Amino acid sequence: MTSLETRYRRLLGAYPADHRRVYAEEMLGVLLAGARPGQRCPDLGEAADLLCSGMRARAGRSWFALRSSGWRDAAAVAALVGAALLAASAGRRLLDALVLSQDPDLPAGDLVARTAVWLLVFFAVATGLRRSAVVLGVGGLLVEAGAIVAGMPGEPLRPIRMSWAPMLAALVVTMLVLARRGRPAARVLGIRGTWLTLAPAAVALWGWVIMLSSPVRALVGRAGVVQILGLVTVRDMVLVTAAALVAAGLWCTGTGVRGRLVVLLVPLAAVPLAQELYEFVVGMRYEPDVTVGLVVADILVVAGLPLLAAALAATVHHGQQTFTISVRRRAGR
Amino acid sequence: MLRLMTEGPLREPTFLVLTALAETPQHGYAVIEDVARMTDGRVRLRAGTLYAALDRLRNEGLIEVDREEVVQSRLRRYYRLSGLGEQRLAAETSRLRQQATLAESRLSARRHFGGAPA
Repeated sequence: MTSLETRYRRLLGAYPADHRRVYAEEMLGVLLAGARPGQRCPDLGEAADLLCSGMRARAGRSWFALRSSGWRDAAAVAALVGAALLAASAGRRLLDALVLSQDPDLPAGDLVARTAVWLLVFFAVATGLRRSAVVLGVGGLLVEAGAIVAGMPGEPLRPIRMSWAPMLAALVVTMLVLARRGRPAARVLGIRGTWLTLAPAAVALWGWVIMLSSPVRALVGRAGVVQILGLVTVRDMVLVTAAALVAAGLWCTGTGVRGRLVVLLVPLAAVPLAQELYEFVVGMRYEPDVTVGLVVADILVVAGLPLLAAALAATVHHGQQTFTISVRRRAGR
Repeated sequence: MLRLMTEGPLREPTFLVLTALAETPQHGYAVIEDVARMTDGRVRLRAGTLYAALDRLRNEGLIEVDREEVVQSRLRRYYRLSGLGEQRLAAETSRLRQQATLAESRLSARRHFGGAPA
């Protein structure tokens, strides 16, 4: 093997393995056929072209893999869950503000806008209006950012307390874009899955109404927390029931989608956890002064941890799939 | 055919690769030489660019592998235009011809009405 061939082989390492398997020997033949007599090193232009094309092939394959139908279906369901989380979060606060608060001047405008826009996204995703869902999702992201800016004068810590919302909204928009050419979420879930996934809304509403009923409120006022048989609080019971129903509904997506759905749900779940973690670390209870460093660190944590969690989940999923394929190949021999 | 007509225009290297394969199946290095010859040396495809185009065109079903040979212990793969590739190349040629005709007629009108600079 000549030194030129060795160097070309090294450059071809920029391509993904499956591309190399198909084309490497052929490309090497073309590269060596085009070389000048006695040439020992690749031309700079040729080397740059190989590196760029290799990187583009890698990026293209990753994006192509992400755009496969399984990922698109999973993205549609994950976007549905994300929109539901954002709508529920704003909606619960809106209901509390309207029903529980005695203050008629309570500023609930941003809560109305946030609840409305995410409910619209939810219904657009569920019914398969994919382009409308993307447009509404971008609108939702702007509403979330606007709500933070609008509330800043009276609440300087708002950008930090609320940073989870635009981050979650950005993830939902990404999934909506990915799901643009996939099946509607309702079709991915099937009839049973759709009902099971929608049921938690009814359970949560029922739990909220119970908490509002006057005997329960009187009890809450006296004892602080309402418990069922002294074992579990009503709030926790409602949350566990809702989560179990959602999990059962998502299980109906089928084997090709389920694993991918978990990968996409991991960053959604990690956003509020990252927020909690950051608030705990910086001691938000003691209302620290808002500095640029505090805001930048917040963005890094609230954006970085979910992405890291998604990368870890994707690696585990990929490893699991590779293992399954290899076991099947061995079994087939 | 309607779908082929409504697809976006081909990039120049892609158009030239399809044109090189229109007449007869060719291997990679022959495509590079043919493209350089067709364009009087203006376009000299590099291996990375060529194989990116060949890979994409194979995935889109516009070209197919005709045969494989081993020459001096190296794999040489010959590619040929598929039926779909022929339709796509014809549609693109027609689109380019329409544009060229339009440009020609506008230029001749410009000359006719004395719009050309002195």
